[in-house]
Amino acid sequence: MNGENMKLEIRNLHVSAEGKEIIKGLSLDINEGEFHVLMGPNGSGKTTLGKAIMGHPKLKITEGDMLVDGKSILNMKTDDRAKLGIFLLFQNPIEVDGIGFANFLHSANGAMHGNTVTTSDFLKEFKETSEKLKFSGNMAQRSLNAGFSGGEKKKGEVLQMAILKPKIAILDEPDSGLDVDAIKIVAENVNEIAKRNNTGILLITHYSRILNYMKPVFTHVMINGRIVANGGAEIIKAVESHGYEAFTK
Amino acid sequence: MDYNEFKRESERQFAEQPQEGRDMYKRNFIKIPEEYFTLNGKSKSGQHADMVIKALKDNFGIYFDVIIDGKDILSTSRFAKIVDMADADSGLLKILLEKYPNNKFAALINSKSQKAVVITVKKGESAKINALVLNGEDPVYVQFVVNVEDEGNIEFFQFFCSGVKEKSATGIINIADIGRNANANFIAVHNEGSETAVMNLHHTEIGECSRLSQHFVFTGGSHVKSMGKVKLRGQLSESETNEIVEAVLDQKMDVNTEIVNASKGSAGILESKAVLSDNSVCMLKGFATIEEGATGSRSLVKESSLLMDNTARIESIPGMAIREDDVKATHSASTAPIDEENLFYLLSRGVDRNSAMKLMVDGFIGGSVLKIGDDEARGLAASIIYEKLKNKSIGLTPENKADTVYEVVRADEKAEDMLREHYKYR
Repeated sequence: MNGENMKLEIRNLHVSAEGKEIIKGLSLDINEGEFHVLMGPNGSGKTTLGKAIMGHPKLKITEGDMLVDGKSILNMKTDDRAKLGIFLLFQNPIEVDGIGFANFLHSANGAMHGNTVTTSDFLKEFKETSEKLKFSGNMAQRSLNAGFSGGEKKKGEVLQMAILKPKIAILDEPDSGLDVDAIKIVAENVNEIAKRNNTGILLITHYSRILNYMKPVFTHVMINGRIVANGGAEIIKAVESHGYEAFTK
Repeated sequence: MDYNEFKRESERQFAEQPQEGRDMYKRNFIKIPEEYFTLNGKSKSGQHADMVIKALKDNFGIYFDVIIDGKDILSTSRFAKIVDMADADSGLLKILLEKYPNNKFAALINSKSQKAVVITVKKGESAKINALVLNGEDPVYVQFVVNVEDEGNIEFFQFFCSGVKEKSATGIINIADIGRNANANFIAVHNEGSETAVMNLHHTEIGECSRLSQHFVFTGGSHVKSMGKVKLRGQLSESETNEIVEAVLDQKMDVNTEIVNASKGSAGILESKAVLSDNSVCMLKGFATIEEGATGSRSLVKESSLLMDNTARIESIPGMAIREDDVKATHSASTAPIDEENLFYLLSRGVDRNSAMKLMVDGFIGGSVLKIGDDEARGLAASIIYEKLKNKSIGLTPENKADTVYEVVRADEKAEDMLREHYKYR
């Protein structure tokens, strides 16, 4: 990265799943430190975009390219994309029974940052971040997402983001299924993590409620696999006032 | 065949040959090729015993009290005596043969083994015994007889290994009798060579208010045939049996264990887990029998397997025969391939594919490994499982120290609390 800000460029991306085209020519640039929000109705392809950026094996890129600092990542493995500094906060994090949350995160941290972080420092950060996220009980002793409530799963994803310190984080509906208080906690923690690490954010959401606590600079509206509107806070207001129908005309 | 006829036929089969006679087992079994029964190797053990002993001592902190190296057999434990089968009293031979009537493996091991190890723990005593069994091209046949008297305690760990790459065999019979108010912890780690046939017979009877915890790890051998029985003879006796199978590269494993509740208030648990890949085959045949009169007893047979690729095959056949009404009994079997969505999630956090697979295997069998009560034996078993997962190596004694593979994170007191009982891969 040569100390410069990382840049993710998505160029005319077409993505298919099981033979059906979901993303139909999407272009978007995200720089480290920038805050984007991608809004759109159900089924518009937002989640598919996040998974495609991360290299999901069941998604096929039929056209276009994705570049990090000018180099295509299409042929890169998922773990190598993560090591570049891309992070996906899952809308529905997978439950993996038997793998300890802290142990997994410790392994992932080692894979991402080598042995530069001592176990002691890791555990300190883990504990502090868990407290900030208001986790009840001992997270470390629980299996990875197994038996977590919806809110705990989202907080667990934010905890992973805090520890792994990505350069660009795609947050796939971090607000879905959360009550008002939990949305605030998640949003405030993401803000703090992003500010501390200069993380670029692509926040994917249906609703504007989380945006009461987060202030994206760039707003995009995605409908039927394409970005149909780009702008700033005025777009969010338009969505609030008129819904997505205004963007389909 | 109508139901009554079927029932009569099943009862007849059961009476004649409690395990191998069952129809399901007749259709699903691993056959050890005949050539393994007539081997005449020339070498001693495949690995130099001194080197193996030193490596296990240095890397895992394991000291052996009983060492069987080919035909050489040595005991430094006051609890374990070497008995020449030719000189053994007829009682010993009678016990061995009575336990396994019509069993060709028992007959073979009986005919070939020249010596037996007799372990006696007298009333109120406690014993810890580690035994190493090394086979070379020359097969090893050995019998252990364990007697734990009332209120006795025993921890008995057996490690089987060999670096030999030629065809060979290991035949083992373990007969144990646990008295009243006694505790027994048996651990057997089988890591024989890639061309070694493994025949493992075990039979344990447990007295009143006693507890047995036993753990089998099967990672080595070309063909593994394990047949075992735990009989909960005494009232309120308990047993917990954990079996871990890890098979790769055409290994064939057939693990058949029966738990018999023969007394009131007895409790038996049998949990088997298999991780398979690369054309390997495994038969898990756990069986629970609750005999008439064993009121208030409990029994659980649970088999689960993880298929790492689509070339491996599992036959999971849990079964039960319940002859008493007032009991609690459950059996289950589950098989799953590696879940691609789970894998994607782990990869998305920067963990490479091999490490992610290891994490998933650890998640699957880690709980069973942690149940192995002896720290040193657990460390060794974990290292063997890890090394095999990494290199598909069969029968090699791990060179890595246990703490380079599994490590209990102990940064400080609070950290220890946070990660208690959790292990991580480096």
